Amino acid sequence: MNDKFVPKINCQFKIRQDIDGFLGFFQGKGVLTFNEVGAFIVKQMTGEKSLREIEQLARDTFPALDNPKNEVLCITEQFRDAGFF
Amino acid sequence: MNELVSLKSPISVNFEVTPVCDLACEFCFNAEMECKKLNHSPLKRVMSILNKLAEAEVFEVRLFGGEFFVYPYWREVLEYADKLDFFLSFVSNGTHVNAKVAQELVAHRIIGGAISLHGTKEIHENITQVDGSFNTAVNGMRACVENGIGISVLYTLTRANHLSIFDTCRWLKENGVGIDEINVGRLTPYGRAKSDWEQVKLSLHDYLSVFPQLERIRNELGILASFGDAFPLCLLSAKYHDYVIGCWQGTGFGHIDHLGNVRSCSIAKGSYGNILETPLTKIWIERLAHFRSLKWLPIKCQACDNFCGGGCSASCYDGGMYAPDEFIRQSKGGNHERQVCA
Repeated sequence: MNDKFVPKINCQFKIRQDIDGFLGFFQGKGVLTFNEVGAFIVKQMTGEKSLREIEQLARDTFPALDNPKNEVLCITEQFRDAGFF
Repeated sequence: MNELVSLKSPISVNFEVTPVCDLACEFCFNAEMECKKLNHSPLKRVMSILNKLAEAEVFEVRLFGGEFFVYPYWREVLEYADKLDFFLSFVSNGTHVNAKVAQELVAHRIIGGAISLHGTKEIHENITQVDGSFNTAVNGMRACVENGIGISVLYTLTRANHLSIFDTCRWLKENGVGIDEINVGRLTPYGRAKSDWEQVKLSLHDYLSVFPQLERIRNELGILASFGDAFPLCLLSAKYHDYVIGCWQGTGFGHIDHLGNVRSCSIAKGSYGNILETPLTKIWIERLAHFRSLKWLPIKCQACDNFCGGGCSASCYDGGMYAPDEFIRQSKGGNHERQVCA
């Protein structure tokens, strides 16, 4: 996937920290669970940042993260396939 | 063994803004309260409850009653709840919804709601005991659909209407009422239905007769028809398992009554605590532990690979806040732990 792609989730959504991980509510679509990194990445998908920028933000926020690019791509592809963009 | 997950608070709640309703449905689970005679909740209390729900980070509030739209301050509630940034929806008898109301709902970001319809005109009005309530409900649906609000029809099953689901949907289709879906629900022994339960309750055979109708509605009318409550899958042909939406009470779903009492189910009575006195997160995490342990279910349900929640926990007469499904109890001779699934 092109890292200039600017992902924008096509419904209103909110993410909260819960007892065990993070929960995302996507209006009209459903509920998804995330880890902290996943929740952070999804929160950036508001149509303002490209994948490259989101990757950089993830790298800066989670310095210990092994492969931020892969994390961003993986989530983006899952959301794309589920019709969230 | 199966176990329900613990969340810090519900994902979605039905909030009973007012206990007052202007219909008199023969099975109403709230009817022991005489809905028409009750007083509305003070707006200040309603707002306080919404604040508590926001503090607990509940995502979705379904504005519920009674009948939400007979609440004198429903517009203020809508505006306040929107300001608190909830995802909003509503559950209504539809009789007060018109184009202006629908536009106000849209203005507050509501994209879907549920309206009750319990049969064709004669059947519906026999149930609601209010002449004209069929047409006003249908007009409410039209107003919503025409303004872009998706409508789920809620259809509570009774002996009088359980064979009329297809006819009701066909009428809606032929008359251009473009609903998104219809969800049929269990008749439960609470409120008005409880007093003559032996006379009004549906048999297992009655319930099983519903599923071929849902199949026909999907196939012939193109309307998504589902069983909106939980049902014991071990008693149902596998071809219909996907028709059962099931229930997520006590994990993702909760009910808040007009006083602020917390329940895991909108139908079953009782309270786990009051959110005006105790944080919802404390109530939700600590006081539903036994419910979520599922130790109150038959052993076979606890260990079942095709877990359905043990059916509807509000279906059992004198079941309190929760109990195994009425048909699980029957088929297991009343001693849950010794019994096996079908």
